[in-house]
Amino acid sequence: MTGMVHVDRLVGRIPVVVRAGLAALILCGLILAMVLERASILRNGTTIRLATVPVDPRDLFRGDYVVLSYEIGTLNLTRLGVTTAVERNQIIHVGLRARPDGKAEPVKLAREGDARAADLVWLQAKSGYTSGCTAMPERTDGCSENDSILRVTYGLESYFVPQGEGRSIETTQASRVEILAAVTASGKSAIKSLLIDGKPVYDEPPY
Amino acid sequence: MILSSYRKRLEADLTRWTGAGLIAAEQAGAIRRSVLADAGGIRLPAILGMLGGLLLASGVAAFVAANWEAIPRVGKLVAILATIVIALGFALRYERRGARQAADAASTCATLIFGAGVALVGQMYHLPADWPSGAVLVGVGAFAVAALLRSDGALIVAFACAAAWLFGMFDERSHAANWWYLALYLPCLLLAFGRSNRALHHVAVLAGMAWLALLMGSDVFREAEFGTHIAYILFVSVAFIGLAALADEGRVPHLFSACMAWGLLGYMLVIALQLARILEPSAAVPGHAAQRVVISGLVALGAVGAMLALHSDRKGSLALALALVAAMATTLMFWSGIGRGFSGRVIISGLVLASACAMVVAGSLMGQRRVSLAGAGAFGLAVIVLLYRTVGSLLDQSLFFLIGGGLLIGIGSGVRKLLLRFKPSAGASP
Repeated sequence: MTGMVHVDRLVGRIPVVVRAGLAALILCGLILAMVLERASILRNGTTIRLATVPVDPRDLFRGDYVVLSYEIGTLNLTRLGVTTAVERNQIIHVGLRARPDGKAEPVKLAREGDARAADLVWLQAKSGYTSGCTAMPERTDGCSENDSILRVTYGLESYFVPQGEGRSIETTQASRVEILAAVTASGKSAIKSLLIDGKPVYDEPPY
Repeated sequence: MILSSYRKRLEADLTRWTGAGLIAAEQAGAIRRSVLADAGGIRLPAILGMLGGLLLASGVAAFVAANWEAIPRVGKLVAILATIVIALGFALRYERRGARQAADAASTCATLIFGAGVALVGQMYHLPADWPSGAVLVGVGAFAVAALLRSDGALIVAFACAAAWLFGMFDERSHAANWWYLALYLPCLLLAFGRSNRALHHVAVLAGMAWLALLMGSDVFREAEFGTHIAYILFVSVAFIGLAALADEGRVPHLFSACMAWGLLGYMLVIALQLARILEPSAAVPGHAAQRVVISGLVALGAVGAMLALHSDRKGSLALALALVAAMATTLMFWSGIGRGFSGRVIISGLVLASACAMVVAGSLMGQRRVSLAGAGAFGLAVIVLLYRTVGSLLDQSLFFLIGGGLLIGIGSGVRKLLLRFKPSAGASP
């Protein structure tokens, strides 16, 4: 294949200083894009309050972090008026409204293309498995036997804490731990603060 | 890059040829000098440089991780970006000095720091443990470095990240075929065509195999029986061998010659499996062909046909083609339903042994030891399977081996006579 034009030969025509500069720009640009996206959510997003149920595994690669399980992580599809099945790994939006105690509760579910009411905060989520109420012994909201329950994740399930501090959060009573999350109009979210007994324990500045 | 086994073989040949008076000592010396020049000198500094780069990247990552909480967020970000720029600065410096391998090591180091940086920024902002997205991001960055700074190491990282993303998305995509993978894989492959690094070639082939392998687990194959998977692996292996034979001839990019080892391995294992399957009544079912298996079969036939048409070694390529077609024919025998009867068992057993023998002959004619070895390996495995699972009864087994052995001795004797007839006389001019 001697007649084949090699990409290296074409790229090699560009001076090496320019190539190295471009490589640096791309690598640094990708990292900066990640940072700016998260910072933008934290600065401009609407703040919501989420009740959690924390559990603590340990990830060797990423130090100590807490896996947060939210009350809104399981949706009662029957109560939300969803009659058609929600397939796994679909991007959906969950419409949230603040309860009297300030914590968010799900009131609507919208799929891609569905209209979203302006008076709700819409949080983007990924659908998981659907099951019946009997498979959810942790639910204490008295869902009936025929209710259909959907598990969802919001991308807010990991919270990194200084090494060695994950265990103390884990042992804290679940009802005492809350999360303040920032949500953009498109539904993207980021954790702003971790609260215990309503007081911020960890705050997240944009930069 | 010259393999040490080739150098040893050449040294032994040169000594023999000089001793036999076929070449003069000066000519042998010239050949030795030429081979050493091709080898590009001692590779130890480059290897040490590459390992040093890896250790440096790991050291920086560990140091940053240990002091992570004490560093302000902006400081962390600046540290990550500065380390990347410094590593790329070294790559530029070495490239300008003409130290290609050192430049490659520095570029690879920058790529790995970038990968660590993505993970650390993910931690900084509590990004979900969505590692497939992280892998594809690192893959894109690695591809950019590989293309811009001609780094083989960065290209290996890009292939590895693409494959990691592929596996990470397998469950998320509900096992459906992931065509998006090709959007990153194909540009990487195009870049790899121009590189001579064998490790890179093998990684490129393995990353391609990962995609082909996951097609097996996709919806297309979900309802398929065991034999469908065997047929698919066999067809892919045959296509790989045909493609590699063409690459050895320079008909397709040299990278594809790395397909030979993987194709031979697949061929060897799968035809032994075919044999084991035909001898097990519960597994010897006709089965059906999924559309993708039929397509892979047609591609394999195309590769064999192209090899026959384009390979300069007519006899060798014909023997190889016969070996491959015989192996593929075992699948057709299954699909036709013949495999369930006693005659089908004998035919498929015969096809497997004939394929293995043809493979040994092809390797011998083409001067490709690995092809002969695969043929011999397949033959050995087939004999073990046949011994383990009796053909009919012990008497039938005995008869089968007797006839098979007699046939092989007859063919061997015939081939020997044929070769002697066509052998040029010692005095004939070359």
